[in-house]
Amino acid sequence: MAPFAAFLIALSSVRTRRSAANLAMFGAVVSLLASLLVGWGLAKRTAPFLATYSYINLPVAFTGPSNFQGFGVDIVLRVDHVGIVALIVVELCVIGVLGWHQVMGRSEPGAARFNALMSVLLFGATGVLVSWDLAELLSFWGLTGAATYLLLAHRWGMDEAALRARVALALPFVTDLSLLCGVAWLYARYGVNNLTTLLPILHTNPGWTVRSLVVASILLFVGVAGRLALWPLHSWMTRTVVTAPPAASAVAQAVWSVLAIVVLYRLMPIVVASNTQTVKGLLYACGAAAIVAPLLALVGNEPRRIIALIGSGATAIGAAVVVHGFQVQGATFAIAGIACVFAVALARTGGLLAMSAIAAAMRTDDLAEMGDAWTRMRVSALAVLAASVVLGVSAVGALAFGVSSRSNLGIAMGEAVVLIAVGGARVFLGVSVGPLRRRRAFEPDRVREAPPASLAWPYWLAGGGALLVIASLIHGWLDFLDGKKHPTPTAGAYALWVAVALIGFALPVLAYVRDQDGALHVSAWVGVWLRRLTYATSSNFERFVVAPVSEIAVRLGERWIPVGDAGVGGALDTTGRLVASGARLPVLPVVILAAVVLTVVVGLVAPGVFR
Amino acid sequence: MKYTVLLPEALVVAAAVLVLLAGRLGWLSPGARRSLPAVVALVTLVALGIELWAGATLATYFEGGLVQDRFALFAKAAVLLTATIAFAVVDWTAEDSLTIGLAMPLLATFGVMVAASAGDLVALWAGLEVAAAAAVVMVAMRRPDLGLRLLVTGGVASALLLIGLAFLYASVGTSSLATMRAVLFSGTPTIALAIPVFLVMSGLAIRAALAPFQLASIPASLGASPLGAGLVLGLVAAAAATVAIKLVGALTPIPAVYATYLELIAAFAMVGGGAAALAAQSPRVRIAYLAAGQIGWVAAGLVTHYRSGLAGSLFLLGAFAVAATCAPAVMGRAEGGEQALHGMGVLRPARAAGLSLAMLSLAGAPPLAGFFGEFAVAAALAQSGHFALLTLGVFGTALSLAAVAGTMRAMYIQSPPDEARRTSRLPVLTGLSSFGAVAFCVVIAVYGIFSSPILGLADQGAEALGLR
Amino acid sequence: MIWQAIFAASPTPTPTPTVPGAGIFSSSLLLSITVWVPIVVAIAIAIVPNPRGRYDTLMKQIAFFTNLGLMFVLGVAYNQFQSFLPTLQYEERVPWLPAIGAVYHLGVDGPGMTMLILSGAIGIVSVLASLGVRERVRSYFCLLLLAQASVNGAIVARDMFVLILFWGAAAVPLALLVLGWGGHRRHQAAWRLLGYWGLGTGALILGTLALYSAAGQGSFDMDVLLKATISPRVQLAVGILMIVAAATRLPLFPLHGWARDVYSEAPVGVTVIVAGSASRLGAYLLLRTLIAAEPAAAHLLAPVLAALAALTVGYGALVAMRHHDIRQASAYLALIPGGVTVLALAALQPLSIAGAVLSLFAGGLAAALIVSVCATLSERAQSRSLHVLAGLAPRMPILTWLMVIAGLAVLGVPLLATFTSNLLTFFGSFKTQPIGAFAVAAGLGLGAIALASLWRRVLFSAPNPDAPGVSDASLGETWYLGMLAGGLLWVGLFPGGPKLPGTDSPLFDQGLVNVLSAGISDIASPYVLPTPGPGQ
Repeated sequence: MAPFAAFLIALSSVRTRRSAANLAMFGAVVSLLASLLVGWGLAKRTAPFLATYSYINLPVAFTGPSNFQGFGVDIVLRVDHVGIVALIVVELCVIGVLGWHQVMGRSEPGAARFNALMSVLLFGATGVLVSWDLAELLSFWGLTGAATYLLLAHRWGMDEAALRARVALALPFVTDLSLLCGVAWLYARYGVNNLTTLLPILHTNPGWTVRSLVVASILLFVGVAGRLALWPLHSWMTRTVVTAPPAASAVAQAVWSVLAIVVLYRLMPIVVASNTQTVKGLLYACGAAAIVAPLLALVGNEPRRIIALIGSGATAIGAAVVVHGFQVQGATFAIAGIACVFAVALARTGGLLAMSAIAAAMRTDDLAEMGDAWTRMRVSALAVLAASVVLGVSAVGALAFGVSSRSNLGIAMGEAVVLIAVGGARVFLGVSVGPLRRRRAFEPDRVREAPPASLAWPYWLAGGGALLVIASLIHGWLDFLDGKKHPTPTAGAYALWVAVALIGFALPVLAYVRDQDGALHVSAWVGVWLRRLTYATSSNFERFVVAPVSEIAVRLGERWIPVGDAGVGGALDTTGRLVASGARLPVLPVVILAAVVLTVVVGLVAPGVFR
Repeated sequence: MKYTVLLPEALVVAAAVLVLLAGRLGWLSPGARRSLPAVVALVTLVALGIELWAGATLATYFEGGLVQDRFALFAKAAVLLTATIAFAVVDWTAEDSLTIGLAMPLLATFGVMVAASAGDLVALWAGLEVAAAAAVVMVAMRRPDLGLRLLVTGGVASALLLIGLAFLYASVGTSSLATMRAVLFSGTPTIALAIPVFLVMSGLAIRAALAPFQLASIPASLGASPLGAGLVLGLVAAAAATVAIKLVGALTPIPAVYATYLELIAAFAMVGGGAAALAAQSPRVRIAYLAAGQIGWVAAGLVTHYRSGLAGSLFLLGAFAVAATCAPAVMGRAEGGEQALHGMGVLRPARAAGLSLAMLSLAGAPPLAGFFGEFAVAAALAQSGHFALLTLGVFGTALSLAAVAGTMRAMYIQSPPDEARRTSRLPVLTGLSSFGAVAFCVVIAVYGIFSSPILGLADQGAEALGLR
Repeated sequence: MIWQAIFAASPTPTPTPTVPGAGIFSSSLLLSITVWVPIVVAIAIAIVPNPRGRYDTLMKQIAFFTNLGLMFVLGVAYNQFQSFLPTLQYEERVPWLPAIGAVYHLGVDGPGMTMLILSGAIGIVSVLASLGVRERVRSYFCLLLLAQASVNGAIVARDMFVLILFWGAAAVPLALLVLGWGGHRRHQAAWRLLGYWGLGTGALILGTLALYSAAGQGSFDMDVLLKATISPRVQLAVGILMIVAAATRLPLFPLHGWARDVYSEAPVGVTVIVAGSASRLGAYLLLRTLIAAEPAAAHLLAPVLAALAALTVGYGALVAMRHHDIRQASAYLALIPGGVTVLALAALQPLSIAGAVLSLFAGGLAAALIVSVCATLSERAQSRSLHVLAGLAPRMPILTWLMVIAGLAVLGVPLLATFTSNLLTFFGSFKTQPIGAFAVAAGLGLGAIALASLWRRVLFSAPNPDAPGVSDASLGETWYLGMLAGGLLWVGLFPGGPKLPGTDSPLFDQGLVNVLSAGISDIASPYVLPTPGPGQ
């Protein structure tokens, strides 16, 4: 409740930037302390803390199946080990971002709005992580989504920011609807929302079918994947990464990856209950996302977009490990995927913040125009390096625990790790080495390190990420997270995946040593072509699908229906005028004629007269 | 005591004759002329009181020529109420002659009363003709050409009626309505019965301005003085409808000879009236076609040949008579286009309310008298399975309502122009006319909302016609 | 006596009185008061002399305090309403027209009470939104009160004749309000309103009379008419007519022709009452006459209803996406909640029917908010064209937040009442109408795109230097828009009433969800699914 209280206070009384920031920070810190307290309480026990409050209790029928006779939504606060760690990670991200924004976000307008929305975001995220009732989950999920959109659209009065923020509402809303449909689909079959009640009856409830579980699984996965920003549902994150406030973009990427992976982990029993083809399909989807997202990061030279994409790739690896962990009978390593995403969340936040500081100082978002940060902004450059390294090796533990390097999945994941490492190294090398060239209205010698008060935050976040990466290599950490025993992988497995990451780091080094400008030029050139391709695709979709359909709708509403109405009105008016014009006719003949004609006609048609 | 029942007729006729004589012989001082409308309204009100007090007596007069039953009671009470309010509400400065303007409606009222209590065909015809003749006089006072036109078409209508009634008499062998009904129970719908009935219906349709026979009456009503228009559109049509209801009551054993015909002209009237009202620009024309539409509903009620249908028609006839007779009178001299009514809601609130309620009632807007009457007819149509006619009626009512909205907008929403630019003057305010307008509003509202006893009486009226 | 009747209101049904007039005071006057007080006040306003508008302010105050008083009475009714009681409450039954079988029969169950609360709230908001009226104040508020009375009458009517009376009566004052105080295309708007609503009223009358004739018991009382055994063919015909009536009022595609003009041309106060309560009567009619009374027809027509719902939602979103007039765009967006309500009805499930009732309330507030906030914004920005309106957020933050809340309410985002109603709707719909539910969800997705584009252009983009000067919402505007948003938030936060943690009994508001559930089980009883056997 602390963030919500902070939000209410901010809404009611706080106006100045400093007080708003302090209040939001206070709410987050109190929330963190409470979480640590709960975590300490959980450390010695395996069973989760559970509290249930009745929210809605609606009797709707007195007959029929008992589970459909009433509808109830309970606020179930279930805090287990995964949930509390995820919550702490989220709170750390928020605190880091708030701290950084206090210094670096001075020029951002609407400080009170920004900080209030951050409090809402933290409140919603907390709710998602402790929800065990699916309707309750949807409520907090949607609330967090709304706060995310408003944060990503925070820069009022800027065309580019407003234009790009559209997708941050539309795309995730559609995937959120998919989650809603999935949960509703399940409720329609099982009549329960509470996971504790639902999971045991997946195959025993009267009327259950595999098909219904397949449909629900796909809908739920799409809902989660949208917020995980897995390819191809990543554009809401990548398109806003430059135009939104850096703090907003960073927190959105970090928080949502944690929330969505935890929710995916909790919903996987439903997916597994469907059939093997579905689980395999979802695994392929995660694998493809893990490869394509970092592959896209090789294209184009926007460093923050690259970090977002490799973060998405690393998250996809985590998701793939979670799905695979449930796919393999008796395996326990699904939790390793979550441990991987925890590390990624902190690292990508730190990396994005540091990269934003560099981009702001160099006043560009093009790697080709950046450089020499190693000498001019060493601290920030080191933070970028740390984040890149953590992102590159974040998946080592998860893969070592769960994925055989000889399997197809292992090969795919290996490619993904290489590409993520390449992306991370590209960012670091692009900003740190090479000359920082003079540009129009830009003097390289004026580039200074970010204010000292902001420098520590990316470090702490990247460092936290590094700690979590190390933890993810230790089976004890995984044992703590899910309360199960995990076999320790061989040293060879660790070494193999670290080596894969190192190969990834080495490749851009070689390329940059050989010809940095050439490498950047190539990626820029491919990026331009990719943008053209994307633009052509979207414009053709707009031209051949959206435009015709909406044009038909518009014409229907604006022309055809009014024309129809006018036609009816005109016909009635004509009828009326015809009736009224009878007054101008010669009366006697018409009256006599009408009398005769009516007499004859009615005489003929009236039943029983002539006939 | 038995003849007390005829006292209202006597009062009405006596008042008419006295007013005519007083006007002709110049007995009236200016002060008397001012108070004459109030006196005549009071006389009709007294007649109405007597009718309601003594009319419950069942009796037969002139060897069955006149019958006092519940039907007669209802119809006579309705027409007396109509006349009372009409006299109270008229703007006499817009009338051509005070005495004739008072006498002719009295005679028309007398005609309807005769037709209502007619026991045979002759009395029916006589009552209708008296009412129609009074209307011709009123129209001719202002527009002799239209008066002549109305007279000629009235002659045709009268001829059709006479021929039809004569053939009917020849076919059935009696002119008494009760006997005719008894005879027809064993009769069949033959051509010899059908043709005369069709002719009678045509004649009545001409009198009642039922489409497609509205050609004479409506133009005549447009040219007449306000009260004259009310007479043509309201009282004469009410007389024709009264005759029709009584005839149908006698013919119900063989509905085939009239049902289809009535169905056809009712459909014409309901839809055509609504459409024409919608297309009309002048409020007077709009009122005329609204009345034509509602009289179509009265005819539709007769199609059912059920007691509930005839009761509905009779109930609606009362609402129709009051609204159609008084609407032009309430509007007074504000004729011409709708701009003539601009700002009437502000300048003449009572009259504007009266005109609105009259038009809304004629259009069948809830919760006014016309709506309740039309709904009673509609319920009877539904019970008898005439859904096609019902659909057309509802459609026509919707058109009528849309038409009324235009006039209400002119009265309440358009700002009043300064008097210099006003094409025609608004009605002159007198104490009586304002009181009459308020009384009219009350009657139109109360007739609907508290219609249970009235509808009950109408039901007894239908029962009196022999329907069970 | 009257106050005693109000406060001693016994919510339980009263026995049928035998004498005309008996039973009024033995029961409660609450419902009659909600119907007749506005009418009496309207008549009083109409006849009180007002030379040169001297008492215009007094007229406004009278209208406002009348609505405030009505809301107080409704608060009493809401407070005393017995949740989970399936029968009618605050029932009044007086024989009226025995010759045709009409009874002055009023009563409310859960859905009726919900609609009454909505109508009361909308009444206050519409008067507050009309305080800026300067011309012909007397006529304006007179017509507004008449419109409110007819809406209340249609809600509480338990006799089809009474329902028709009030249903039909609502059209004329509203059309006159549009005609007299609307924008430059007011004539078109008013005639369309009259035309479409007239068509709907005609369909309602025909459907009712078809029922009346088929039931053959000579009564219009819903207790008789809607419980009579009627052949499926007649039920189908009646159902189709009722759908036409509802589709013209709610409105549903393709009978929505009046909505764009009325929502975009009517004065704000009238827009609020049309979008908020008068139009909701469409779905309420379907609930009363089709869903609750004609199960056979409902089963046959459910796919049609679902298709209409999906078409309405998708169509509204698509056209709003392409529109260049903010008020017309908001008019199309205001169609969306109605579509969701109809999907809930089409599902024919107890839960979805409860969702439909909540959706009537929440959707009414959301539709009223989106059209009124866009109308206010266009007035404050002195333009309706989306080519002109740009980057208003920094200059009108209050209206920006209200518009964002309105848009989120249309989409059904958590913390707002529409989310809860959408939750009930979708949870209840996927069993029987999965395709319709998916289609409506897709339509909501399109709605999100439309809103994102609208906000981008109007609120968040760079300001237009050539645009006329803008100013933020005044205190009065903030109040009435805030009341709509507040209603959405309150029910969204506490649908079951505010409770202390660990307790199950609400504190002071027993919760709209609990209130609306009274009678749902009765309405939904024909649609309860049989317990499926194993393997099914």
